[in-house]
Amino acid sequence: MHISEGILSAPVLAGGGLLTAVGTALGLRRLTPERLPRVAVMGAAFFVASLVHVPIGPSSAHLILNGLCGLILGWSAFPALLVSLFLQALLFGFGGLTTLGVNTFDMAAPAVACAWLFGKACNNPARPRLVFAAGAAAGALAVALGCLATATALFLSGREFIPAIIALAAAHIPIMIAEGLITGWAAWFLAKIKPELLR
Amino acid sequence: MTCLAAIGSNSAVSRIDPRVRFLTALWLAACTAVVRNPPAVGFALAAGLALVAAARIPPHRVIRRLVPLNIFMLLVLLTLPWTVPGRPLLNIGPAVLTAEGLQRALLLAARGNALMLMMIALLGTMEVTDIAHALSRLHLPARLVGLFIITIRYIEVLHHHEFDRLARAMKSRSFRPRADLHTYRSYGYLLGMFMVRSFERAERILRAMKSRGFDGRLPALEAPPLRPADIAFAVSTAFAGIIMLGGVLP
Repeated sequence: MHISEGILSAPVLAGGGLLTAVGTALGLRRLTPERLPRVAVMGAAFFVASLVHVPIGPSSAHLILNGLCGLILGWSAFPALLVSLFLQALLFGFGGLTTLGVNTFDMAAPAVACAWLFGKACNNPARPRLVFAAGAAAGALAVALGCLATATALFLSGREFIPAIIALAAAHIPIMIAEGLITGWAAWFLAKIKPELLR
Repeated sequence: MTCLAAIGSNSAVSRIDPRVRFLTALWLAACTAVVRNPPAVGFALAAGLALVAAARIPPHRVIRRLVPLNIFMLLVLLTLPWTVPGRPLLNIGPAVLTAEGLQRALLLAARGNALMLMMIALLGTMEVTDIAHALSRLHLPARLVGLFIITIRYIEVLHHHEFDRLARAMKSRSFRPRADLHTYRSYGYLLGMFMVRSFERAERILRAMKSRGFDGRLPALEAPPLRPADIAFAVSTAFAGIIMLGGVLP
């Protein structure tokens, strides 16, 4: 889902950077001294969790977890994912410096959207099945929306990317299912053990 | 420090002030990302290679960091030549491989690799904590820099002391990841427990920080002044960027 350096057109890069700047500013406004260490440590946790490779069919993929990230961090997902993606570009060569804005928006905007859509349903410790369903929907939809945003960025950079977009989208369908199930069970677990994390 | 380790380097590039290196990386990246004519992209690629050479980074480290980029580029190289209209080079049934498409795909691949090489040379050789302090001295929002500093501090801690312990415990109970529901459920619980442990650790960290008077600010250490070599490097990369942009402007 990371778009690599050198592919997107300059206006798309600038637009992505602008959207991420706005989202990050909104996220930082909510980052009081009280919440700063919490969000930073949870951001570190999501960075570590995204190193996990999950078998999908004959292949494997690393987790994205932007749905769970949104459910736990809300708007703070923007600055937290910005930091994570900067580190991933720097240390592993995923994405890059100029695509940081686009890539952050592609993952953080779905995270915030899923928190808004499914946050209430996940805050229901008495009904774990509902929490599983809402968590699974958030996990799958966050990947799907991320894929859609990535596809849009590529499409706006040139019509000639359409076959590449189709290949990327197809590759993400199994990931979406796995992410949905994993996020659903993680949310179910949290609702039983530590419901305040989903509040 | 394992996954956060910088590429060890003792060279002319790694001695440049972190602030200067960060700003020149941004400037060169911005210039390279907008150029689209072959000479300018070639120049950018040469600049990237020169920087990597000057930073004396072992080639296998460079190649490893270029892998994810080039996997994506492979997709571009396989599809673009068939979708960009232009002079046909090869016909396979209804599919037409065009010279323009091939040129554009190669151009994108060269530009991407140039950008990555510059980042590896300028930022990859810096410890992440040095980058954090450089960002703080460049007056990025204090909350963002604080978030960055605490995140990089705890990635290793959470990885080794929380995640690996949980993963080892699963392994010792003969868990083998497969592509099935049992695996996904186990991973869901693993991540849930990992989030709980991380959250509890975050609470302890917050209490420890508050007891030491944390008020949202993390003061940066005094920065050494810029040396003439830093300024010379900044000026020469500024020129390199202008030369690249000269190819775009009429």
